Amino acid sequence: MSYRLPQQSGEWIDRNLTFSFSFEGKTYQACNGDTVSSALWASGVRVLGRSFKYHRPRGVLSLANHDINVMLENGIDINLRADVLPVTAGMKLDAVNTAGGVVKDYLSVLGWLAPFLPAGFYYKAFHRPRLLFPFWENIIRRMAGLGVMNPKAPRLVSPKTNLHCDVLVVGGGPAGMNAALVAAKQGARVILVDENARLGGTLGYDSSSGLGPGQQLEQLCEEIEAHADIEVHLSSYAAGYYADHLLPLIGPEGMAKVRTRQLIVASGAYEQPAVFRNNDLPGIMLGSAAQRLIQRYAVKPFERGVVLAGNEQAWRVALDLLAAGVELAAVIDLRMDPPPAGLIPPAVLVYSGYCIYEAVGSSGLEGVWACPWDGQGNADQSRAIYIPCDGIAMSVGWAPASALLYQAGAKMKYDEDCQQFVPDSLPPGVHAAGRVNGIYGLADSLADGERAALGALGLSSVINLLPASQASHPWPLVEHPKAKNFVDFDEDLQLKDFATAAQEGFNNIELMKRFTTVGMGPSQGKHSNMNAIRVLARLRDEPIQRVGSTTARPFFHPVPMGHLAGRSFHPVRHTPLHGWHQQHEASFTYVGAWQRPAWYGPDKATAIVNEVRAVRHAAGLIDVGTLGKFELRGLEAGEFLERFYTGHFLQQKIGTTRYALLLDESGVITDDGVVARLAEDFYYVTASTSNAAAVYREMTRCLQLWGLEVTIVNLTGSYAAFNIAGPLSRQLMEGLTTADLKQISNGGAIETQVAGQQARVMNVRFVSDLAYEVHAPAQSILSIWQALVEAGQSCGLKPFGIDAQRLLRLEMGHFIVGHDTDGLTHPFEAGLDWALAKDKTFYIGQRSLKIKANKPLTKKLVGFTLPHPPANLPDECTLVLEQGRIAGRVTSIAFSPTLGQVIGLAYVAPEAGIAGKRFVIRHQDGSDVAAIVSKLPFSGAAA
Amino acid sequence: MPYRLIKFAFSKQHPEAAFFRQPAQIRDSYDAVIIGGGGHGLAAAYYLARDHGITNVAVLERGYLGGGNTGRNTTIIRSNYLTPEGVAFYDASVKIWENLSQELDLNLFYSNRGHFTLAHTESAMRTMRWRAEVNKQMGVKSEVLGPDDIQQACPQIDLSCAGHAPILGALYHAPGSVARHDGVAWGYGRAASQMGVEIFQNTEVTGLDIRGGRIHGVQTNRGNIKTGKVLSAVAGFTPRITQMAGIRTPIVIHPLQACVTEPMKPWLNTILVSGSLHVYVSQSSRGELVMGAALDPYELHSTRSTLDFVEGLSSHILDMFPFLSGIKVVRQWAGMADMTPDFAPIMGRTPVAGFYLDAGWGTWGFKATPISGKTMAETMARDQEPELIDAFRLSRFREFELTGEKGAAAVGH
Amino acid sequence: MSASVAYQLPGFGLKGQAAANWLLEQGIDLPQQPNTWLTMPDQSLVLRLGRSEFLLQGPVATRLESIWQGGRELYRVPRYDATFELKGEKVPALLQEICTLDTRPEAMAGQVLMMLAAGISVMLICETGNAGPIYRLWCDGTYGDYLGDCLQQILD
Repeated sequence: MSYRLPQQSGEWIDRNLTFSFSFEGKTYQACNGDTVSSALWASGVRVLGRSFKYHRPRGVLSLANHDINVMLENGIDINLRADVLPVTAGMKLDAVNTAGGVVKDYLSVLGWLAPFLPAGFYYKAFHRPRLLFPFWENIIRRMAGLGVMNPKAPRLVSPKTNLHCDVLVVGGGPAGMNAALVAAKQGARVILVDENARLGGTLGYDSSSGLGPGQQLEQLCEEIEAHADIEVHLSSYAAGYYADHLLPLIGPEGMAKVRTRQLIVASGAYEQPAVFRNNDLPGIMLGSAAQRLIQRYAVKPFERGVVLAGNEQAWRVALDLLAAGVELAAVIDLRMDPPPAGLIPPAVLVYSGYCIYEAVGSSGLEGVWACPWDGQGNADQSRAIYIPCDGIAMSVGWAPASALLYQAGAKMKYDEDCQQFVPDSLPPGVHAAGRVNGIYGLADSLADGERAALGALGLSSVINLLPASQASHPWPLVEHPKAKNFVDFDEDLQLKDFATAAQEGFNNIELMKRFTTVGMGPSQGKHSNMNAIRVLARLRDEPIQRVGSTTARPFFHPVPMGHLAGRSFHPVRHTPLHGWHQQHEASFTYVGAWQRPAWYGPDKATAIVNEVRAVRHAAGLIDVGTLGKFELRGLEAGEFLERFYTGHFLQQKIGTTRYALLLDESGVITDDGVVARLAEDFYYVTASTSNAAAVYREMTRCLQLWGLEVTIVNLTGSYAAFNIAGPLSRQLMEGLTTADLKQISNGGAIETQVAGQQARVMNVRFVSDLAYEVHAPAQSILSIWQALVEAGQSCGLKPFGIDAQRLLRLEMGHFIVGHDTDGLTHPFEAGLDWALAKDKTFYIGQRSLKIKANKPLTKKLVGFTLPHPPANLPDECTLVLEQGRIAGRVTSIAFSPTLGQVIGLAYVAPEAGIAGKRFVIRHQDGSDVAAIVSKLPFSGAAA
Repeated sequence: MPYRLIKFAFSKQHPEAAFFRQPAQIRDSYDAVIIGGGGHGLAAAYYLARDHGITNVAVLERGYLGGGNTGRNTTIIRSNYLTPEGVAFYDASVKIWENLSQELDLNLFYSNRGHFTLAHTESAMRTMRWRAEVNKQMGVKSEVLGPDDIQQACPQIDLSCAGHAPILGALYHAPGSVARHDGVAWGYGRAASQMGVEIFQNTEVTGLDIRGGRIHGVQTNRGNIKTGKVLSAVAGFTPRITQMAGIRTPIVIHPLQACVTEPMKPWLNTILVSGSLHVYVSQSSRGELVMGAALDPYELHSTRSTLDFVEGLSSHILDMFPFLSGIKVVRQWAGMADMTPDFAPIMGRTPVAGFYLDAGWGTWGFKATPISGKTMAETMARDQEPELIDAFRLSRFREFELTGEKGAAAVGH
Repeated sequence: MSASVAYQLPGFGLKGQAAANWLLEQGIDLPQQPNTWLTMPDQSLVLRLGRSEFLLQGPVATRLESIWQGGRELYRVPRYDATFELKGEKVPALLQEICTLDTRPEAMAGQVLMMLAAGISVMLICETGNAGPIYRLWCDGTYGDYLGDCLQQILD
């Protein structure tokens, strides 16, 4: 049967546009504008979901996404919130976490097991015997969880956007709307955000007359729409507050990150359920849910119902129900005094000083037992009356939606008159208005919005409102010996669970939360935290103010990871030669963000062998444009380097290069490179690719600390470079430059022209005894490279990649920082004593080295060969063992085509590190491999 | 068989006694005072009582039990560290964990899932090989696996990571597990309580009474306590206590953030860590994905959350698991990580006689809860560190004897 | 809409305590504040990147190039920028996606924004003209391919 009502004046549905969708295999009709919950309720469906723990039948509770009674999946997306999910044609939906469907959920037997499963039950059992725990855990894991993840769901990219405004108003109810208007009229740029599909908030459904929202709402909406400086975001929520007024707004399309100058939180309050036995039966809902069903979706909440009253809103709910044609069986008023005359038609039965003791029904409400009570949770069952009905509208109180305020650093206090937490102090730039501020009633809310807006703009106002009196009932909870009176609907927590927790010692608000899991479900306590606080305050016999509340953390509603990730940027860096590498079949690898050629050609193994052979017998070219490159200029540039690196640079001859070893303050090797002195006050420094940024950062830090007259220019991106190495390298270079390369043999450096371009040429010996490194502005490197390629075509010049480079330098016996050294390696271990200047007054790490020099060496880096290598070589970082103890490890190892044997570098005990001595490598397969220490460079290498 | 549950059904009153003995009054002297009512402090109290017969102990907690990093971590337990001393230490912890639920008679949901540290570069693969070899040498089950094995253990993972950082292999550590973090504090607290230890929440230490280089007592917001033995086990609050003691440490505090998704039916049965993507993820027994990333790269004494943390994390998780874009993050939080230069803890005696330090736990403290309690209890009882924690002594910084754990602890919890 | 990449735009960079004075001596108008820019009568752009670092683009760059000698506290900063000219109706949304700073023309008047966009360091200015705002975006040339692809993807 249909529960659709005739046209309601402010309804959100479009009756002319209807379509069908399916739920649990059955087809239903919906109007455009319906949410899934409203459409199902309109069709008379009452069991919309099953609860998490006991699998009890559930229907609509808040209709506002403040509970997860109705959580669905559609085969692709899971954990969909039916209360706020708009229906679209053809949707196929199922309730999550049932066995056999929502109607016949077989797991509802767990409801019978409830007595065995009090709060925290899982801590008390399943761990003995130990071996059976995995069996139980498997069951528990399968019972827990809500939706079933779909591994085929597509990766959705929802781009983010960044917005800036003067005033961000969170919440589009009367207080928020008016705040936005007042601010905009003062010239501010305003963003107004509301999680509903339309503005209005409570004004949209809780009107004073039972005749619909009325003109006031229309007028406000029109004014807002007309205002050019108010940007409205609907169906969006502010997910959290982050430092400096950064708030992400989550909408259906994605995230809008708002940075605002002033924040006005007018987010309203969550209506709270009353707690009595079986208060979760379908048909039992919050008063505001009933009102929204009627006003927005034109759905009759139930046929015959009862209003459970605890505050003055209850009367409006009663009137709305009557206007919707609901048979109002009674108003059960928790308060002792009868209501003032005129609030409700005299024909309506009002039971003052009564509570609902127990709701009755199996898969839906059938009736209630109402009893007189003492206002403190105790009912007098002897005078219980049974009222048949299929619905209860609970109107007992509110909890402020104050998460954003807490996150912004607000302090809240509990107002005993209002019976609500309200802001006590707010940080600069943060304002509160409306119900979140304890202000109820249309006129007051509008005024409070105005006050907040003026305050946000630094303007004064005379408005000074106090929190409303008795907005919430102080104790809407009723004890029952048979329990099933739920406080947290997400987690199926009953009233006695809290007493249990307190009795067991979990009697402060944080421990109570963690032990009972109240507020830890997807609703994060929106409908349960306040009652939990009330209960704890009573258990501790303390005022609520002292009990406090748990930490409010983002997010307000759960946020999809796709929205958080946005488009996902993955920066990639190319040298100017990248296109050339691509055209020449380079296989690329990532070194940080850089793409570098690892080898050229289709087959890795043959490519590397050929590239190595070329460098040894002819010449090779490698792009080293990724190196860190820095110009140090100024009168004290030399002094700077003298302090920064371990070697001598102050007296370095112009036109020479020196090895540059960099340590940290504890004497650990962090990088190495080359310093070329090109003029009296001009040094050109290179650093390794991986450490370039860190070295530059350290240089600028020291620049500030030492205050020397030196300027550092970072050319890592604006200069490019390559190495040409091999016996033919000199003659190939000579063909393209007028400079006398013999002059710079033996580690020299010169600024000259190569292939007609300005370049810096250095004689370096990393991969080969004869090699040159050419640095030039990025714009010109390609033409120099191409000129060399052409010149070398006839004599076997080949490009080579970093795999071949690694092998070539190993043949030369050279170590690589970060490959052959680690986070603790100091120069003495790496045989770099020679790089440490003995007569300097200071360099970074020097003091630590003095201390380390007095300690015995524990290992040292040596070269080695394998006399009988296995077919599968030991991996790099396999261990060197000595009498069963770890003495070191292999850092580099490879078969050298040039030398015809397996060579490597390893750390061994110092006494074992003498050429000719043997040591043992523990192969990754567990076998032992004999190795012989070798002098460096390996004989037979070099070019 | 969960026989224990039966009594809940048939008893009118809830049959369980209080977990913690929380006397109304703090006495004015105890044999030992433990500052910090988290997992480490409570474990130390337990072992002091159990192993050394020292039960006249007060545990002082400034907030609520386990409210520090014990309640904020992402619950990963493993021993696949890089150094022999680290491996031995954490392996000893794992051995206690395996039977801890039974020993404390509280289900800690210690769940053995297996732990993958994914390597996306050859450099990372070398570190995995190094760790695997050291682990094997120390008798701990770790090995290097290739992409196929990873795909088999986790069929849903995108090995190419959206094409940006292909997974080359991983360090697989079979003993890797997760547990219920709060439960550990409660379990140790209850067991210690049962042996006579007194626990005081909302009790903040405001000063230390040190004279002649020796501790004589502590000052709190509820009065002064005389004692000859004090243990500080306060993680992110360590600098405040060491300042009171006049002790210098190289500890710096960085925020460490984490977040959790909505619960789903189980699908991720292993623990995954990626050093290159700086993320780690596991699925709790409630069905939530528990996720974390690298430290915030600056010092800050705060547990505030940032948006860029959860944005960056989501981006990287979706690289590995592209089908999770619709899965929702429910909550994010943070703890304060007390970091040391060598990514290893600081444990043992200090220059102040009778004052013991259990600190420098950075991002590696939860897994060490049992063994830290045990060894610190022994240190306090005998005024001498057991050999197992010698490598973690405070003096090592002055002696330039740092441990080399940086490769294993960073982003791998 | 268009987003054109140009690597070859003559860009002249310099830094040093003496840089400001030297530029003034060459008759170049200088912005007063760090991270601001101005246009010269010949349409050259002068960007002040710090107290003592400058980037000049256009005819003046070529002129300075030809007379450059350097000196004490007067140093050349070689530049290899990928520069993008962004104009059209899709551009505001593009910038709102990749920049966390306020890129509205009125918020950017005369400002040089140096920030992260799409994961890399960039510089951005906004020239307001009759035909609507024109944005100029610089990044390190080695990221040029990446940023170009990125921008294209977002605009499509």
